[in-house]
Amino acid sequence: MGTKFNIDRKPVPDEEINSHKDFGELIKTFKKQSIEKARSDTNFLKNKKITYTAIIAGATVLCTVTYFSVFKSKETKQTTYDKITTIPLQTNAQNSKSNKAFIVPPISKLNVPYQKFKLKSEHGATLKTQSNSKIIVPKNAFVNKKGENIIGDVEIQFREFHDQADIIASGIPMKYDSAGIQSHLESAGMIDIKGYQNNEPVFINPKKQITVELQSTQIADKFNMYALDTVAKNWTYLHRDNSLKGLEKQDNAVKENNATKTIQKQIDAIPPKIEIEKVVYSKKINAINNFINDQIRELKKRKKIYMATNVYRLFISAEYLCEIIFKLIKRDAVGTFNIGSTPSNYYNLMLSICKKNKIKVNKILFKKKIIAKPQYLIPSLKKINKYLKLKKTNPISI
Amino acid sequence: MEFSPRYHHTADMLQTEQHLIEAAKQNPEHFGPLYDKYYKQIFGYVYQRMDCKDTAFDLTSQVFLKALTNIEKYEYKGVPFASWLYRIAHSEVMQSFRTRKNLRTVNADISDLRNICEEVEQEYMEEYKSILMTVIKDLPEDDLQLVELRFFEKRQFKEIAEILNLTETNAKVKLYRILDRVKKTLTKSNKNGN
Repeated sequence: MGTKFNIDRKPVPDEEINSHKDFGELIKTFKKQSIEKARSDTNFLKNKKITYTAIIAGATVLCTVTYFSVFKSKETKQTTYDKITTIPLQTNAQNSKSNKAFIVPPISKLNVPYQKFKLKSEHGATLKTQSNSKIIVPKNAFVNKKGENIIGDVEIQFREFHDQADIIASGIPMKYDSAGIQSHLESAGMIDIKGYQNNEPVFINPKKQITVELQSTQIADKFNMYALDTVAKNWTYLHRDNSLKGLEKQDNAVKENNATKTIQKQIDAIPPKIEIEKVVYSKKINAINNFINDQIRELKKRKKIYMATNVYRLFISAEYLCEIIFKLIKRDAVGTFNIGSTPSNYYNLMLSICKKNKIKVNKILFKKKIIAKPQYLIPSLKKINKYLKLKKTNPISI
Repeated sequence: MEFSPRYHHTADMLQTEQHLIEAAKQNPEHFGPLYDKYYKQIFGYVYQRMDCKDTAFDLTSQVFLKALTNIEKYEYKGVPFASWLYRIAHSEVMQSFRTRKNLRTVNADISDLRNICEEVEQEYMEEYKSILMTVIKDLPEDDLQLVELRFFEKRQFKEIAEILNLTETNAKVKLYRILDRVKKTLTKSNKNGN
């Protein structure tokens, strides 16, 4: 590589330098590059870890929803049918005072495309999107504008937004105005779903629900749910996300529904997050009423219980304790002995007890971390083991 | 030799800049003030090493695009944002020499060559011009960078060290070794001339 040497080259005037400054162009290139990069990221789907379920019923599905959306039956009363299309909202936006579309993709070619699916309305279907999200459409889920059941092919158009690139490409505004305070929404995933038969928008049957299991890499707890109101040109807060805990408590009407039962099973299958919690056992303790017996009774009633995995004790069964005491008496033992079995946490203890008593714990016994002092109460058993030549024992094995 | 004041930052200025950077991390649209502030400097740095003005403008845009793309990775660790931009600019310039076969160019004024002579305690003479140009052109890239930053762009050692990711002392030692070689060449040519 040769090197050229210039002496006293004429400097570039400031005006010329400034004329080349174009921040707008830089941002445009940046956005374009970001979108292309995100699209070509082959690891994107591999990175997805969590699936969230959205039940869509009783409201306009034209929604771009952060995280996922659960429309409750209360909202059903306000709207006769559920329209699965974005068209009305866009139309409303056009009619707004500003006369400017609310959702304007910056580069239409890069906009997130709809994935199209066809299904027979009378059969229903489970549709799988490119990102492994699922749309579960029950039988006879659609009605026409007169409220009559639709028979035949229905085209579902669906798109999902997972990251900044998708959001920028879609032109969906993420500004959120809450009582005059502007902020930006951070999305854990958004969906947009539409349905047509012969180019006519279709509506969700008020008695049915469509379920969307949206893939997301985000943890649920920090997110709220919002629907985009393109008339008010703002996001509408639906409720705090309670996907894991809250769905358990959802309204009774939903519980009666078969489709919801399926979802409920899915929710039940999700183990609760292990969180640290302060636990106080305040009942009077005796041979029958103690913490362990209480928990076993709950399990027998098939109620969910949570047992600590971070608190260790030397649990001992009454039989085993008696046996050791007899042995000590027999040998005229003198002195102080620690007595116990192999150290175990409460969760493992409960598992052992249930196994021995053939109590099924599937989906009702869960792990939990609690604040307990001391966390480890494990005195040394060397002395007693040596004295009585005992082997390591399971707390309930004897 | 007078130094350019462009790089000097007070603590307040650094803090203000840090706020701008944080804002840009949140929203690329907020990168504007940093772009405005450093565009001319970065263009100057790039053009100093290029022969073609248009290529220099293109590369400057590339530098800012790269900076915007990677701004989330920038953390203030005592090195001002400008140095980070200069490092990106250096990398882009070097890449353009390799991939686009752009011509590496050294741009200097006669006064810059006089400064080098003064530094090596030699009185500038017209015949030194070609000698100096040859010596500088033949320097390895790292050494050439040092000479350019110090004598042709008139940067302080602190700034040079930050741009080249060296310690200030190391930068000084390296530069004075280069100057020593220059001095020997000039002295030798002087003797041959006599």
